[in-house]
Amino acid sequence: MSSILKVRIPHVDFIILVYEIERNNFEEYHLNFIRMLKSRKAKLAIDKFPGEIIIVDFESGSYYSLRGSACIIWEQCESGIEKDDVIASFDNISGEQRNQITIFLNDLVKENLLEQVEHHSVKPTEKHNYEDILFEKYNDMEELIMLDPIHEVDERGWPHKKD
Amino acid sequence: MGRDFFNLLNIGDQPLTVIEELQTHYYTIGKEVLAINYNENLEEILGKSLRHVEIPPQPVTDFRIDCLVINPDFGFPFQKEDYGAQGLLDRYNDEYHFSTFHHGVNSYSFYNRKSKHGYYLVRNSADIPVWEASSPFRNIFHWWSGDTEYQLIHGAYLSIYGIGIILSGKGGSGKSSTTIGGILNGHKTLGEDYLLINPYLNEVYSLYCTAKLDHNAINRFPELEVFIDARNTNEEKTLLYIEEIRKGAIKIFGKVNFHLLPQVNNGTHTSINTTSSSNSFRSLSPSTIFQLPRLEELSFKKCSKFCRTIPAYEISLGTDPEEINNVLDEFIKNQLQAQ
Repeated sequence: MSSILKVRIPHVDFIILVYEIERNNFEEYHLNFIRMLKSRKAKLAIDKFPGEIIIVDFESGSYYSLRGSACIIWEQCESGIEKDDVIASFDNISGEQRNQITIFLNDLVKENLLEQVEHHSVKPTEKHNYEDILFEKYNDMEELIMLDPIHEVDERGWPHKKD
Repeated sequence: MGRDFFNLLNIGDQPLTVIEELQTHYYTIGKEVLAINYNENLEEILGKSLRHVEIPPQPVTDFRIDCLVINPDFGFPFQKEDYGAQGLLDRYNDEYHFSTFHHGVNSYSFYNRKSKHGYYLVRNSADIPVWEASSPFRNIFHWWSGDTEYQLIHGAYLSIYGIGIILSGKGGSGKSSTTIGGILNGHKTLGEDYLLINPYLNEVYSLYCTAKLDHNAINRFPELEVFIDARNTNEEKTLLYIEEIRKGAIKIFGKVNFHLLPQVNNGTHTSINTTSSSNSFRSLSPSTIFQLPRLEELSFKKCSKFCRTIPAYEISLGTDPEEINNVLDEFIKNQLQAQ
């Protein structure tokens, strides 16, 4: 049996790299149709670089890095897609990789970057080769943006936090 | 005094200042002309960091700021509870008006993008801390830049043998000490903390002729100890005026050829390696966007444009300033040879 590895390093909330997967833990992930959260589009900025997508959430101060197949999956989700169609869009995908996709989608929902809706989408026609998903959340600016400008700052004021 | 400000705050005809006499100074900010009207001794305190971009009086200005010590009896129509994240006052922010209260300085910044008129108001000039004097009006400059091609960024600049380098990174990354080391080594700078860039033309303009160094960094440059301001010794960082460090070290305009991402490596040797445009973006954009309130999406796009255009390198910094300078010099010489 195996498990998804989520590691914590300073200012990076989590990195998902699939090394091992415990199948029993996947019962909670019941995602159907998903798409980028339209209500929050104004608060998000998305920039696509070669091999990486960066998403900045202006409201929370968090920013995210998506690499590997996470980039393709995000682009599919921008217009809306069934979870099973995401999985079906990759060639020769293993059970472990299916679970990695499920966890990644679930984390995008938890982070309020995707939402689940009822209706269906056009099915993707293109097939992709799967690359391990790397999904990082940076929270160093979150602290700065959420800092109470009166009570949580030192005498210099925002953005200088009290010791 | 512009009525737009009074109308927005609905404060009637209260006298805003005790001393009405104003001194007007003119500056080039990017390629635009700024007029600042100061009262009392505010030019001496806040204008000093802009003196290298000061120009003679101009008949036409592109934007202006009233920088005023206000009447102590003047009452702002908001309370501490009204300040949101970053000191934003929601009630006094809309499509055309930008407004923040800086609790630490007791200063109010306002900008009307239609009239291109800003206010920087303080209750008492003696309350202005040294670190505020190092980069005054930055929110107003940020809001003004929203209607231009410019972007205020959190970064430093060095010109080495005519090649322009922007250094960006969080506090403690070694950006300031690398810049100061470069200045002491004979190179020029456009600034150490905030710069104005035009990402469409790869141009950089100086805003402030100041540098802030923490005490550990000062210890590495013993020649700087003579410049430490006595007012400043209890502060976390020391404010230095670049022209005092080395005459002729500050310039006001430069092109940018490379983006360097410094990182202190705690003792090993200094080295420079290529890195991706996405790393460049992550180094520059969040600390720029989240330190400057509002216009986030526009700033994001301008930073993105810059990072996609300029080649980026990571510089892993050792502790020896001489070695850092040698590695930087070698890097630039190699780039020049390759051209």
